[in-house]
Amino acid sequence: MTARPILGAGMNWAERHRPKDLDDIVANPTAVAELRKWAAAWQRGRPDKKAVILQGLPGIGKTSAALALAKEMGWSVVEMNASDSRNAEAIRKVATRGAVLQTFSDSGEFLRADQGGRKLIVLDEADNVFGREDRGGIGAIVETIQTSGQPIVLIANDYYGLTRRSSSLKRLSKTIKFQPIHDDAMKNILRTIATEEGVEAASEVLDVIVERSSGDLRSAINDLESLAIGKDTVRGTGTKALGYRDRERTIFPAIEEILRSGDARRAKDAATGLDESPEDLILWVDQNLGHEFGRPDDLARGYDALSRADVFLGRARRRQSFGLWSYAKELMSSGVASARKGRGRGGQLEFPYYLIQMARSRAQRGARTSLATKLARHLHVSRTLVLDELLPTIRMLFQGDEELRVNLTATLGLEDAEVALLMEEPESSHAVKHLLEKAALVAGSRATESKEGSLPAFDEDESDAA
Amino acid sequence: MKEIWVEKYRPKTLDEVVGQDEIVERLKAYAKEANLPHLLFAGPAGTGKTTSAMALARDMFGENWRQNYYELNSSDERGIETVRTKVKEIARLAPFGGTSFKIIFLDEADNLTADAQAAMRRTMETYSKTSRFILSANYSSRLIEPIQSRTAVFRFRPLKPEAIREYVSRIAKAEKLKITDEGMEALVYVAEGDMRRAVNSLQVAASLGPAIDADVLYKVASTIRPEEVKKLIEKALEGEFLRAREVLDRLLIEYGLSGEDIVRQLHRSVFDLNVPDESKVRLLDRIGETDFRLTEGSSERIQIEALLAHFALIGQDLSKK
Ligand SMILES: Nc1ncnc2c1ncn2[C@@H]1O[C@H](COP(=O)(O)OP(=O)(O)OP(=O)(O)O)[C@@H](O)[C@H]1O
Ligand SMILES: Nc1ncnc2c1ncn2[C@@H]1O[C@H](COP(=O)(O)OP(=O)(O)OP(=O)(O)O)[C@@H](O)[C@H]1O
Ligand SMILES: [Mg+2]
Ligand SMILES: [Mg+2]
Repeated sequence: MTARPILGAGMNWAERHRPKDLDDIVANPTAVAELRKWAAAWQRGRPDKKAVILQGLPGIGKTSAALALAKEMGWSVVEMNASDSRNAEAIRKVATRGAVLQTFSDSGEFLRADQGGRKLIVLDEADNVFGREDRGGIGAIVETIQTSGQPIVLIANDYYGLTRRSSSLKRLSKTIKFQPIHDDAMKNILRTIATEEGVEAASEVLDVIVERSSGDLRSAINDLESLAIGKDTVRGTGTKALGYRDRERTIFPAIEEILRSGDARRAKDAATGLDESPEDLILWVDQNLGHEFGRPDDLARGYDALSRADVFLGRARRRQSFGLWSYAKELMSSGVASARKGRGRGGQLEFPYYLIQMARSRAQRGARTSLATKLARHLHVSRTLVLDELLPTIRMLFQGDEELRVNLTATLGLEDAEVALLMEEPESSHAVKHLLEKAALVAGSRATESKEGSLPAFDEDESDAA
Repeated sequence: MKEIWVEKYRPKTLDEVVGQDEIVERLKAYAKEANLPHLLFAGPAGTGKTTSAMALARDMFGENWRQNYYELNSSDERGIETVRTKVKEIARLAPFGGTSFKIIFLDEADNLTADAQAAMRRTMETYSKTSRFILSANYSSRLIEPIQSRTAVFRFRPLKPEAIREYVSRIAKAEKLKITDEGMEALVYVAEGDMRRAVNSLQVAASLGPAIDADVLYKVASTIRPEEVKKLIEKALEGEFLRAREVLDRLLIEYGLSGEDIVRQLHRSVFDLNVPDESKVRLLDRIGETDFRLTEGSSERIQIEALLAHFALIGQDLSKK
């Protein structure tokens, strides 16, 4: 999520209202309690898991909680996030700094790291340690956990993306899950923030913001702020325009030229005048083309131009020859503009939801992929075949028979999210928990029996689902 | 223990494989001689390619078969890196327990990129002492010539009704199921020569009750076949572009299908559509073009949307007539 430009002096609201203490983290009491318990174990010595993985969607308090924990414990913080290079060497450097660097206490006394002068190593955005650019990063993280005498917090949106890359990571860490902020809590805190900022926000406005946020508090605060700037009351009008906020103001007129002017030249100029890469612009054109072009022949021609534009984008990206972008930009502007012969439909332009949905569902798709991988191995077929052909069958069998369900869960080592997909029940439901417990019993008793291992399979630890 | 039948009843030995007699006969000779060239198993889904490879390994290596049989799903990892590193590493490994080589089964080899296939060439030669490859492919023509030239080709055919009946009856007996005659005919019909589909349909039907008749099977067939792609086409042909796009987004986002998966499904469905042949040919042409552009372009969604827009156009032409 990109930060909005901050208007005026000072921090934006989301930062200004970042919880400083664990007690201020809202709507995630269980996670906070677990975090405290883990930290308390460090006071007594070494807990059996030296690392925790904070897992959850964006904007729900993970980073805040990690930092607040350090504050509460009186630990200092060594942080690495996706803006740092995180290859093996870089991570080792930070790890040793965290473990070995010795500090002076306030009173000038020399404090050894193992005598209370602890450092919390925070590896934020740990799911974005990249295979190529951050070569060796994940391995170094594992190594750090194994060797470090310091507490480590890993933070990730995409738990599967992270743990899939290393099974040891999962084994060595305790996972703490953060939940999306539920509607009531969200509305409350927004109301509080509005009051503190001296703004009166109508209840229905808050409802819209809450609704749009899907549990992401940060985005909600940003939305609220974007509506409130320069006003002392916020009412219903305007919420329609929520979305890309600042960008919308410049991009909508350009989209309008492209889709509605019917003039190749004007469309091209509008596209050129924008401060958007063609890779972004095409998303906006795509989103609105289907709404605007009514006649099938217009639509087909319009999409032909867009499809050609996309081909140029693909070539540019693949060959790193960004000179091709100019053709792409012209095809998606002039090409689309001249495709329409009939009348346009008019109406409200939209921002590209697709990307947001794609991003939001990442965790779920992660679970789908990992489920499909396990099934594919078991059934000796490809993941694709599982996803587009076998899943409905397996789901029916799974739901229809408890014994099969338990066996399959135990054999494949299925996890909450994967089981939830097969059962079509929420991850936290009783049915899912019950099944996992039973499967654990079965797996336990099997382990003591024969050890007919599975086929030697190619290690997929480093595989990256695009 | 209750499990998924396609695994539970997957033939363990070559003798149990049905309907591929000439193939099985040759493979049995390999098992007996404990020798084989690199092989290419070509043919449609669910006809016994993976099964035969595993059965061959079992028959040939006996109790050490698991240590000497490696399976790589190439449709999941189809890049050159995989071949250069993982495949090579495995190929190098010494076989286990005194056998002279091990078997590496490369599933869906036709989905390996051309580069990756090229990278296989020397590996297949250099390490043939320690490793024999069995490549499996739905379309052998997608394999580059040099690879085809390094293998002996076995063509698996869609399974004949007798073969399906024979095998299904075995399962029915073991599971104490009663299949009516019409039920069996229905099963053969929905299977379309694909044993996996036959067995899956049977198991789902059996989970609904012990009596297996045609009604149940047709019902099952319609629930376990993915209908979303059909909906995608219907909406597009009706000119409901935005509706079709919703379905598309669902497939991409919720189902996690790739653009290629969807195009493949669309391709398969074309001949079942209720449109004149001339339109089918136009559709095929567009689908092919989309398939091509997917490899060149960057956004799957845009490429498939463009295809849907063409479906809508063809739909309009039809309704005018
Ligand atoms: N549980 C929460 N309690 C209070 N404020 C929160 C909470 N979650 C998010 N916020 C608000 O959102 C902002 C961002 O939260 P935080 O950085 O902790 O998110 P995160 O979970 O780490 O997200 P990301 O995955 O994007 O890094 C905070 O500054 C705060 O304003
Ligand atoms: N010829 C056969 N004889 C007996 N059973 C078969 C035969 N072919 C397929 N089956 C059954 O169908 C299931 C799927 O078969 P198999 O995995 O061998 O298909 P495949 O040809 O490898 O298909 P794909 O191209 O999808 O990989 C097996 O588990 C087995 O139960
Ligand atoms: Mg964060
Ligand atoms: Mg197979």
